[in-house]
Amino acid sequence: MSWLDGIRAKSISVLQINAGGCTGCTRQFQAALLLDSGKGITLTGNPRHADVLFVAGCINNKSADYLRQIYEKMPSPKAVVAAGTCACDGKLFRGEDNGISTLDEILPVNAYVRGCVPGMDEMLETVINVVEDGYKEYKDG
Amino acid sequence: MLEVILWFIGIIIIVPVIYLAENIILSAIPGQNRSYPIQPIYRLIKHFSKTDLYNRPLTRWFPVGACVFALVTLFFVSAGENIMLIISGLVMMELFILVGACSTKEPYGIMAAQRGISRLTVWSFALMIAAASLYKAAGTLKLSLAIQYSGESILLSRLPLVTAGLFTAAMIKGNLGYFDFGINANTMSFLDTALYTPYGGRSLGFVQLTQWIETGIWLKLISFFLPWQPLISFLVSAVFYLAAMLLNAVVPKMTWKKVMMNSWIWAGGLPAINYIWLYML
Amino acid sequence: MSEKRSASLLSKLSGFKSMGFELLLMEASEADNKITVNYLLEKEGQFESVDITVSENTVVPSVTLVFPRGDRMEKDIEQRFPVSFKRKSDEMPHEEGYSLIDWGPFHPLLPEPVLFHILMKDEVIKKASVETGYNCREVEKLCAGRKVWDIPGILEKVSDANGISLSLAFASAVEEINAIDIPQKARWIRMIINEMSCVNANLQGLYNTAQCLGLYGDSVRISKLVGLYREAAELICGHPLLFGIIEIGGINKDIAKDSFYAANAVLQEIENELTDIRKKWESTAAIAKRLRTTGFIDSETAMTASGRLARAAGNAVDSRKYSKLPYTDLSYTVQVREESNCYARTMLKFDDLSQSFRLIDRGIESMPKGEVKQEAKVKKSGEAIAREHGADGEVIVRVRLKRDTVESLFFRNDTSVNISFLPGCLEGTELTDFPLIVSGFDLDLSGMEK
Repeated sequence: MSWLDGIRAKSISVLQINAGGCTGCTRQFQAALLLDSGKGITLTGNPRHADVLFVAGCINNKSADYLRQIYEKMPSPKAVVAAGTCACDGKLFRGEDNGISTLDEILPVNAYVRGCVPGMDEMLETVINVVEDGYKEYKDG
Repeated sequence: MLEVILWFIGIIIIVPVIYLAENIILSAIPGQNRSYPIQPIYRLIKHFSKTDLYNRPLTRWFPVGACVFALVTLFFVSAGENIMLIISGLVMMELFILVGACSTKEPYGIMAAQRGISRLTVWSFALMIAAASLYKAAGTLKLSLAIQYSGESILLSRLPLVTAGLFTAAMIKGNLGYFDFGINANTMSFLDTALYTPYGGRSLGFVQLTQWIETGIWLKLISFFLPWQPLISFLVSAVFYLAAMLLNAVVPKMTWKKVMMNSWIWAGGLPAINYIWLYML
Repeated sequence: MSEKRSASLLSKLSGFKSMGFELLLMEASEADNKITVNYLLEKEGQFESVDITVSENTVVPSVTLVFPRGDRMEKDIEQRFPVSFKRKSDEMPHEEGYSLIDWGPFHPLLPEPVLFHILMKDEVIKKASVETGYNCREVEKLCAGRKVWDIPGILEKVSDANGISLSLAFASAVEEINAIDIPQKARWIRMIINEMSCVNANLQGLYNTAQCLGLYGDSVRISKLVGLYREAAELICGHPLLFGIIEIGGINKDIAKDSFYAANAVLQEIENELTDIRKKWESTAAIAKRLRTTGFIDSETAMTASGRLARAAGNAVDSRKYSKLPYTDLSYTVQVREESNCYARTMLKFDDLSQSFRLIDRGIESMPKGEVKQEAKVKKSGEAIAREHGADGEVIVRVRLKRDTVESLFFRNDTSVNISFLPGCLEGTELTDFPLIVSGFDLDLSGMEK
C-alpha cells in the first residue's frame, strides 16, 4: 500500500446506489457508517465527488444505462463494489428473460460483498480494502 | 514585509485548523459519523490525486485561476491594502468559479451558477457598503490605516452593524446555517453543494483550496473591525466562525428564497442601516 | 373497441361506484391472442368483478374516468400486455421560457430508483411526470409455476417497506384456499413481526424526511435507531430484516418470550428517542412551517387516495380491518390528521410508529402459549384474495393455486394508487420542496413495480 493509497483510504467518498429492490443493503451500509470501523467514509450524492460506487439491488435493462453514465462521471481512480446477493449474482430475482443482470455484466467490479444482507463490518472492510489496495480487483468480502 | 508574509502563511495554516476543529468536534458528538482528525487534509490531498473530469479547458483552468486570485487577495488583506482591491479580488475569484460552473453546460451546474450569482450580489453589496462606511468612519479605505482607529474601539463602536453584516456575508460564502444557498438544502445531495456540484477530480481540489483561502480572507477582513490586537481579533473572528460551522450541523435548511431574504436583511440591510446612521451622527 | 362496448364498460363501473364500490385491483391475462382485463371492485369486504375481453392492440377506455386510482394499474397492464388505455398523455410539452430537467433515477434523496421529468421556470415546477420501471423484476412471472413453499421467501425480499406484509398475505391466502387453521401463537407472532416491519419502514421514511429537511444531525440519530431496530429484529429471529421466519402453516421456529421482551426493551429505547425528535420537529418553527406549507392535496382528491395519504386528509381508512392477524383482539384507533400536507403525513408517521410500538407491546403480553406451526397439507386448487396491513397502507395479494403450485400471483400495494396523485401535488411547488413532497408520499416502488 503506497502512502497515497493510505491517505485515500482515510477519506473515502462513497456513492451508494440502490439499483432496485428491498434497500436492505444500502440501509445496512448507512447504519454501518456510524461504527468506528467506518471512520473516514462519507456518503456523497455526486458522482463527481465519489471514489467508490457502491451498488446494491437488482439491475434491470432500464437502470443499467444510468449506472454506466454515473460510472463515467466519476473521476479516476475509482472503484465499484457490488453489495448483496442481488447485485453480485442476481440469485433470487434473476429469471430466464426478465432482464435482470449482475453488476459485473454492466460495470468493472473491483469487489463483491455477498449476503442477504451482508454484515456491516464486511461492507466497510471491503470498501476500505479496495481503496488501500490501489483500486485493484479484489477478492470476495 | 515580514509581518505581511507571516500573516499570509499564518492564515493559510490557521484556516485548515478551523476545519479540522469542526471535524473533530462533530465527530466527538455521539451518533455522528466517525472521521479522522485531519480528514479534511486527507480529502484535499485525495482530490488533487484524482484526474480532472473535463476536457474543456475552461472548466479545468478556471478553478486554478480562482485559486490564484484568492492567494493574491489574501496577500492584499494580509498587507492591509485598500479594501476596494480586496473586494475586486474576491469578486474576480467568485466569477472564475461561476464561469467554470456555467461552462459545464449541465442544468444543475447552471442552476448552481445562478444561485452563485444571487449570492454574489448580496455579499458584494455588503462589502461595498462596508467600504463606504469605513471611509466615512475612518477617512481611509486602507485597512492598515483604519486599524489604528480599531485599536481605540472607535471603529467597532461606529460600525457595529457593518461588522455583523460582514460576518453574515462570511456565513453566506460558507453556506452556513440560515444562509445556505445550496440548491437542495441537504448536505449530501447531488444538488446541495451548489457551486461545487459541477466540479470533480483535481478541479474540485482547487475549488476547495480556494474556499479555504477565501474563508481566511473574510476572517482577516472582519478582524480589522474588531478592537483588539490583530492576532486576538483574528482568533476571535475564527472562533465565531467555527461556532457558526458547528451550528450549521443542527439548524434546518430553508428554501433558497427565504435564504435570499435573510441574506439581504442581515448582510445587506444591517450595513446599510449603519451607513445611514453614520450620516446622522 | 366500439363506442357501445366502451360506454357499456364505463356505465357498469360507474354503477358500482355510485353504490359505494371502490377499485381494488386490475389484472390482465392473455390467451388465444385475446387480453382479458379484470376489474375487481370492493365495498366493505364485499367483492364484485367486471371483466372485459379484447383483441390485442385494442384501445380500452380508461377506468380513471370513474376511478382515478386506476391510473397506475392501467400503466402496469400496458407495460406487460399488448393493450392500451385511452388516457391523458404523460408527455412533457416543450414550452418557451421553461426548462425540462430530469431528476433521478438514482438520487440520494430517492430511496428507490424512479425518474421524474420536471418542467419548470425559475425553479417553480409547472408540470412533473413520473417514469418508473427501474425496479421491475417481473416477480409475479417468477413466482408462477413455483411451489408455494418457495414464495414467502421471495416475497419478503421484494420490498423493504412491505415485503413481510406481502409474504404474510400470501401465506394467509394459501391457508384460506386449503382451510389451514394456523395456531393462535403463530398468528400473534405474525402480527408482531408485521408491526415490526412497519416500524422499520416508517423509520426509513423519517430518515428520508430528515434528509430532505436538511437535518443532518437528526437523520444520523434516526439512522442509529434503524441500527437499534435491526438489533431488536435479530433478537427475535436472528435476521436484521426478519427474513426466513414466515411459512405456510405458521412460523418456522418457536421464539422464546424472553427474546420478545429483550426486543421490546430495544423498541422502547427507540420510542423514547423518537419522542424527542418529534417534539423538536413540532416545536421548531422553521421545520413545522416548511412542512405545513408543502405538499398540500385537496380533500376531494385525497378521498380517492389510499393508506397514509388518505388518513392525512381526514379519511379514516383502516388497513388492518381485513387482516387475518389478531388486530381485532387488540383495541387500536385509526390515526388520522386533517391538514393533508407534508406536516400531517410526517406526524402520522410518528403516530403510526407509536401505535406499532403499543401493538407490539400488547401483542407480547397477550401472546398465548402453544405450537407455532400447523402441518400444512397444500393440496387444493383455488383462488383467494388476502389483504394485509402494510407500512403505508394495505397490501393485496391474489393467488391462484393448482394444488401446491402457484398458477398465478398478483399483488399490489397502496403506492399503485397514491403515485397517481404525486404529479398533481408537485405542480406549483419549488424545486427545493420536491424531495420533501416525494418523501411524504412513502412510495414503495419495488413493491409496486414488482
